[in-house]
Amino acid sequence: MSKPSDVRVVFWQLVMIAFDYPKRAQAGAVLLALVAVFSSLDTARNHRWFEASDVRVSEERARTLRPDLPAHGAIGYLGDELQSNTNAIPYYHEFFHIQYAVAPVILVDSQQYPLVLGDFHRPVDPERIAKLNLTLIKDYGNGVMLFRGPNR
Amino acid sequence: VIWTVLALVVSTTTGLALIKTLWPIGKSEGSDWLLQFSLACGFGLGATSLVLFLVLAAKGSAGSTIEILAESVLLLGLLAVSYLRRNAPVGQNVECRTPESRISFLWGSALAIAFAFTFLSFILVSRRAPHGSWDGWSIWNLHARFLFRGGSQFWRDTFSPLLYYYKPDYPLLIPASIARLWTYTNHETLFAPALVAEVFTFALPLLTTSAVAHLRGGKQGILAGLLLLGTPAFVDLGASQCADVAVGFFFLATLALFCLDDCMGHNRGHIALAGVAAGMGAWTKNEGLMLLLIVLAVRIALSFRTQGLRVLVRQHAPFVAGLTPVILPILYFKRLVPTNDMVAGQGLHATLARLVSLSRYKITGKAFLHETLFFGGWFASIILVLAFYALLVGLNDNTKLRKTVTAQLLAIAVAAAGYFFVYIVTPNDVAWQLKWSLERVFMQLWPATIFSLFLLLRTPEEAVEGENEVDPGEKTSGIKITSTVPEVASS
Repeated sequence: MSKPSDVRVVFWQLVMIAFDYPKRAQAGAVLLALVAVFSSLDTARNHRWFEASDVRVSEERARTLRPDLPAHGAIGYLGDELQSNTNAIPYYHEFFHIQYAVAPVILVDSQQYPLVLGDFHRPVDPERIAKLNLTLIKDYGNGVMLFRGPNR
Repeated sequence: VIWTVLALVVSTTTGLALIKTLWPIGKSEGSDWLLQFSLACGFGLGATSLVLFLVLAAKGSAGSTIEILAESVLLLGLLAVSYLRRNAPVGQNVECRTPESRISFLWGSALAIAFAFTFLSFILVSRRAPHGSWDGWSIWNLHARFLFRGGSQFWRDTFSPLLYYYKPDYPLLIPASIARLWTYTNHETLFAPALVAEVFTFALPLLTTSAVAHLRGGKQGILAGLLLLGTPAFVDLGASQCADVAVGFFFLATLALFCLDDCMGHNRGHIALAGVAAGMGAWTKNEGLMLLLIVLAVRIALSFRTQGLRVLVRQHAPFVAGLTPVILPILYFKRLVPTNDMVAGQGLHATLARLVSLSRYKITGKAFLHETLFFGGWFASIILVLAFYALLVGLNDNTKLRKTVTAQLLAIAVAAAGYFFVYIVTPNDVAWQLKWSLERVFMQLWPATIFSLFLLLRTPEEAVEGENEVDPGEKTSGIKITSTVPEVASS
């Protein structure tokens, strides 16, 4: 009785005889081509895509604000209050989005500037604004405000 | 749209004129034209983005008139030089090329179908995220906005240290190309950044296909192109409007042009173009500068013992000549920008502590291994598929080509090692940085890896010729082929 390893050797020898080198190579090339074409179809169908940021929303929010901003230079930024032990990532997401919308004005995450852009997604606490010594210039609705900062 | 497309036609024509100026004169074949065209797409965007930067630096602002004028001067100059070269002696010396072969309808159709699916994917991604991925809009498109909206004098705000979150030190090929398209149309469109991304996403598989086809025959070229087009992450990263696909384009262009020089007799034109390509890579992203140095260092290290310093200097002088017009504006640019955040975070003690931290090696090594095995989002590990394919077809027997490819593979390996150590010493959280950038970094090397691999492997044509014992030299007319006939591989 032959061992399993012998059977395997015989099997592969038969495969080699049935598919000599040129046939093997050609079959390999065709298979590789099919794999690649299938993969490109699969990519179009299955949407392995990066997560789209909602840039359009921040563009829309900043649209009415832009004419009131200086042509260039740095202004301050004030977002929703960050509680300790909360995730800071959403805060910076908003900060990045608004920066993209208001370029070439440079946003700095500080309130020590003559102009400060307020970008809120929660109701604004007037006490916090007063404590920061900010004076409201204009409320654009949808959480976007422009303040006069302490460093006028 | 018309002005945007016109701007693209101007940049591609400029790229074509640049290539025609330096390309060795000789009989052109199908893949030769395709190769020149695909190179021209990237070179054109690179050259015109440099023009925009220089116009901004010299004049303070770039209106469409001054930009068109400056580009016209460059284009006319290049056309004049290429016209003067038309009577130069033919210097093509084919030494290790596989002759051009007819492409069957089926193989051609497979490539066309893959291009069509990739185009469809690109459109779908771009419609879903017209501003690109996070890095796409928050770095590259933001810089383009600063350049375009900044206007007279304020375009330099792009490099403000206050914008350190947004990588103000990153080179400007992509942002300046977008700003240039907006300058032509005189207003911002979402079409422009998508178009720049599209140029690189489609020029790169075209370059991979034509470069491999030029050296190893049509079917091999198509297989290489299909493999790149079939990589799911490729279209994703292409449409993300990041610069990594463009870096991959210029890295492949550099290696391919060096390879053409090695295989077709030493010709100053190819080497000079390799210098231009390497420079454009450095103008695309900081990694491009590292890749430039690695390619050059590997070539010099491998040839130093056999060829000696004088020969090496003579051989690489055209590379330096091609590189210089690109690297000088980059050096000027580097004077304007703040230090890179990764470099700024490297104190001697902190870097040494990171270098001896075993956990960083463990995290990075694990991530590299995982990415190598499962790179690209394929439904199966493409590395294993390729290893199996390599076992089926075997390696080609051309020793000269093998030597060239060895240098390329070594450059890719050194680049991967370089990236590995960048992760080890990064001042950022290494796990976070690996998560968000490793696939993009691998994508920079992937086209060059495909190119090298398909040069190294036997072609489907060689498999058949091997059986029929046909001397490929008989199949060509007027061109001497000195490559060896592949032996029939044993199992």
